[in-house]
Amino acid sequence: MTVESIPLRPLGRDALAVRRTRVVLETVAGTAVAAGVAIALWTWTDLPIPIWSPFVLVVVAAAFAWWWVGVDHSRWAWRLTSDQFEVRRGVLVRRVHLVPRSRIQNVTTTAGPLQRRFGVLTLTVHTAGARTPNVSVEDLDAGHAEAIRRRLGLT
Amino acid sequence: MTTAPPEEGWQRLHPATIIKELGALAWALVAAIIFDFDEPDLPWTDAGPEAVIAVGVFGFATLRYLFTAYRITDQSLELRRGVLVKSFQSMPRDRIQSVGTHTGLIGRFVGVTTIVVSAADTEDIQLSFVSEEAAAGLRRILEQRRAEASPEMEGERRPLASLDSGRLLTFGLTETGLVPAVLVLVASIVVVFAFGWIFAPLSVGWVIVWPVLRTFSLVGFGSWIQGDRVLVQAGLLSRRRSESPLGRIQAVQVSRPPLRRLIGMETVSIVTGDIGSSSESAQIAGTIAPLETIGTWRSLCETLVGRVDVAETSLEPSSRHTIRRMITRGSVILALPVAGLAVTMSRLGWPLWALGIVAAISLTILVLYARARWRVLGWSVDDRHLLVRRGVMLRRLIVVPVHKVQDVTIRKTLFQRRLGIATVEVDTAGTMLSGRVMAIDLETERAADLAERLTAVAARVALPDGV
Repeated sequence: MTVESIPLRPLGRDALAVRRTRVVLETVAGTAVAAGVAIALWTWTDLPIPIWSPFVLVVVAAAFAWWWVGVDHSRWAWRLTSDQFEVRRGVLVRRVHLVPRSRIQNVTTTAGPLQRRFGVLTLTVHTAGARTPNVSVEDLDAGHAEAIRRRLGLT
Repeated sequence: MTTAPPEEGWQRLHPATIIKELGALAWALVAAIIFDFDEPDLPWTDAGPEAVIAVGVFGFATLRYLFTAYRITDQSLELRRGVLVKSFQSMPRDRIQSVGTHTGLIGRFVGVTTIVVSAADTEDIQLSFVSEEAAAGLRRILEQRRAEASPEMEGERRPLASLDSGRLLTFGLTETGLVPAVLVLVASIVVVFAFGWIFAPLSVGWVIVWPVLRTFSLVGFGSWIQGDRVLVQAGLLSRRRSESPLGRIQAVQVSRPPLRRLIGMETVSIVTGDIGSSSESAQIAGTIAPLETIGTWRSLCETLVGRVDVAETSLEPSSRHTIRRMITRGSVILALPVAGLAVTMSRLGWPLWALGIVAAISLTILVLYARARWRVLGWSVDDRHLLVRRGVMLRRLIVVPVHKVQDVTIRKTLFQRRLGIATVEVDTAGTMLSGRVMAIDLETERAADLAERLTAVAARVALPDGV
């Protein structure tokens, strides 16, 4: 049994910022769709549905997503110990992934435009295990990701 | 850009390959015959454009044959092919998971065979056709490196399991798929007599095909250990032979379908890490003992993966909370059909107490099932092996050498958290087992201990060459 004194690290504030920005962008897109639906309802149907109802749905969904993103963000944590990489995540279904360092075959990082703007990226760790990708951490601070790659000796 | 490999040692496939290539191009001939291109103004069409196309197709098939070559270097098996689009495939020899041969009807007639070489995480290399002598030579060469490493082990062939006709029949009759299939067929024959609809058996007859085919694929089954390889051979019309290095075995799986369990028998299979396993190679390469007395798995397992100290009799049970979880989950699943039944019964004017009886029977079955499931679930671990058991109807026992563990996940759903239990999922390179090696519903601390222990051992054991 390994006794680890290395604490679990949560995702940074930038991760929360990038996730909430995504919610805002999706809300804008949702509002556009809602406007289309509202116009369609108003023009072609006699349904007794108030014209503002699609917008209310978008606002409720956005508020829920804003809150959910915060809860989900608080559940993410990771640590790299001397012999394993550990990731914890999940709100309803909680998962703890344990990957022995000697089993890591490949580490991949990807960053979309929004992630690059906030200085975060997605780090994926592959083993030879049949379930792929084996573990990934979304919106991890780029500095931390670089440090993980260096410590795993893969750069 | 990689440098072009040196041009020596390349070998062509057997000329019978042209027949196979012609088969692949047959659509062009069929199209020529269907569209009938005769053009009276053009003198050369008198001979019939079909003939021209046939010559073209034959020429292209020959070219494809001429442009396909393979070779074995010290490090790898290489295959190059393609007339217009070139492809080059290379497979490191020390990564080879299994070498299989497959001889179809034409192959047996002409004396040629197909070789399928599989490795983890890469596409299979298929050599069809090569002559039978070349196939035997190839297999020897591909395994030579290992034989050189342990020459004293090479040569002697120790039988592992076989299947005579009586046991084959027993295997077929105890296949899980067969009983429902026979019941469906009997029901359809009843329909013939009751309603005179004679097509009923024809329309449902296909359900019996799969279990019968699976049984037939095991005619003449035999498995052996030779050196550090396990050999499996089976098949009546098309004969298959496969070899897997023992070091590549990711897990051993023991399955006991209900009927087979009733007569005290089990089936033992190995799981290797090849990703290109077709259904046939998965069945044949995997099964190493189709029908053995319950408990034989242990000695087979010891032959394959070394001394096994974990035992089925001393399995750690899952938490009793798993019964509650199963009943809750089952009730949620049953709620919808019962509600639907209630609506239907009230429409038909049936009394409500009948529904009460249906609900009570369903709940009783659910409770009995949940308790039986708890009794079956179990796990055991030491520094060498993890053993898990599950399945009320189709009982499965999986033995995973701990050094083959790639990563471990502890999963807790909302309800599991409330009950203080968790499931430990173990991932290996064995594709067929993906998501199936699980110790279900352990107390949270024990789950954490198990996961820690597995990863600690896996981290300590250096990754062997290959997977």
